[in-house]
Amino acid sequence: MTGIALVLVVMLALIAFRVPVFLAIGLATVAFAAAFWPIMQPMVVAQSVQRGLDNTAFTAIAYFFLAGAIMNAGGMSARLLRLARALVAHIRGGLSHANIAASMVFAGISGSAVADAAAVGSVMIPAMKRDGYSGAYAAAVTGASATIGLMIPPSIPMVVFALFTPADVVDLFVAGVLPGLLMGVVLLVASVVVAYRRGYPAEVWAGWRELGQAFRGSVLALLMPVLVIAALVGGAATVSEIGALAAVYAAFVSLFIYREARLVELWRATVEAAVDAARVLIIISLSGALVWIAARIGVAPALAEALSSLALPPALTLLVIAVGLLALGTVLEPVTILVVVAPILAPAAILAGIDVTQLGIVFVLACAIGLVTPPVGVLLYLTAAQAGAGVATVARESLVFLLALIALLIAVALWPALTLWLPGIVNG
Amino acid sequence: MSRVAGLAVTARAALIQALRVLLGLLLLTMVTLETVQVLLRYLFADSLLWGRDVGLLLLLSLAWLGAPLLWASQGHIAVDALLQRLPARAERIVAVAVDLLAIAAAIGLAYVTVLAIEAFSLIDMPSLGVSGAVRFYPVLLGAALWSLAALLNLAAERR
Repeated sequence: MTGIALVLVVMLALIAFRVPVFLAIGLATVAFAAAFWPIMQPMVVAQSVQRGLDNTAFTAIAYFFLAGAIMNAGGMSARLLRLARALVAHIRGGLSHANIAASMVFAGISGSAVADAAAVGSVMIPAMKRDGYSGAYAAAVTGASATIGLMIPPSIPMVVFALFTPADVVDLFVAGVLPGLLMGVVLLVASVVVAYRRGYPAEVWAGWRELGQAFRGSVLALLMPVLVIAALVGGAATVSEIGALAAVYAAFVSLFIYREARLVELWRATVEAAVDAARVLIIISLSGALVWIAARIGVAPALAEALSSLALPPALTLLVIAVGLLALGTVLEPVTILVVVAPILAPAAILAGIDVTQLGIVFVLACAIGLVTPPVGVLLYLTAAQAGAGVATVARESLVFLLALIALLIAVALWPALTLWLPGIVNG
Repeated sequence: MSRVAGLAVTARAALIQALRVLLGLLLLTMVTLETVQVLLRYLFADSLLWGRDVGLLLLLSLAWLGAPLLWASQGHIAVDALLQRLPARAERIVAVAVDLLAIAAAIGLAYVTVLAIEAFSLIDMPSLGVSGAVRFYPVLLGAALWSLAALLNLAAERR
């Protein structure tokens, strides 16, 4: 265990000094190779870096980024926001609820919380400020609700988790649907409570006609997550093929049906998606060395022994893991947690009697919550900048939403049916 | 700004632009290849034998040509909560140290990658009819461009 402790300490120390995560992982690997010479020969480092991405399923990450970017560039944002407003804006605090509803429907097309926050926030935050909400509150709602993007399929973190553990990506996608919808529900409840306590305004009911038109306008975007899950469950194609087809579908709808995007905009979306994908893939490539070290020094059996020494039932063990992940989430972003912790922890958790699909959902939900917790909550910084509000104020305003999401995390950890019921039905 | 710094800023902007175009083309090619594979399978019960290997090469290239682009544009995933609390001078010293660390790491990576290329040069990649060492070329090229990006960062920030 000294080896893995050395790797983690070096990595976290470097990350604290703004060394990019991929380089911190690489240098921690070098520290291990130097300290435990000759266990890890130099050539193993090069091989691990190449092997880290030696699976075509990783291409799905780039494809789902691309599908989301094209949908956003193709005018989907405005259509989905129109639908969200028509659905819930007439309830007190309507724009806050519409923001959450928009994130729920957006979650199904992008798979990236940052992309959701950027798209929804750019429209909803100014609209909420115009309606009298504080910028900090508008930012808090946008950030908290964007976390749903990680849970409702297609979800990039779920693809990453499945590739680093024995979990099945189809089961994870299906298992994420109910917790994803529940994330929306608990956030809506929190939003309603805040709205009544602060007396936020309601918009005029737009009517069934507007609701129908808004639904018709967005139905092709709403179909995407349905098609993705149906194709995966039906075994029509692999996850990477479905990712590519989702991107082609998004381009087709944007260019030929909605006709709201030109080729130049699709090209810009492609470049942005490629850069976003590279940002994640380079960490995965380097993590190959980390996985090699964990396997070589037998971290999983030692960790399994430690977990079993707790002598807790699986549900409580999972709760302990969830608390640990929440703590990690305050300082690390999701990809790092998933590629560093998941391959080490998953085998031990399985030996402790925890279902790997449920573990995956707890991982992704805890990582999602980490996106809105200080000091390193990417969504806090992004939405605070969009709203022109202070990060500390946004963090304070986020507290009520954070508590709602943590309550859901506890429920998901303690109650396996929340995650395993739907995959059970789908798998017969 | 000194002349060297000015040149470095221009060169860095050109590097960023060139790599952005390259990354976009790589992703487009990957999507096209994947879609063609599905169409071939369903319409003609056929597939491209080299599709998987080329797809993996493109994926590695996307990651490793993205690394220098993200380094030059400071777009990598990093945590700056601690550094924001330090004085500007300390922050600058850390930035220079991180660029120097990157150059050292890139050179080290290039070295071990060359070792791997030599070791794999006799192993064939049957679907493409080339040496298995090509799998390491994107990493080698990425490491070289990454050290260039870090060098340009250092030169661009020179006062």
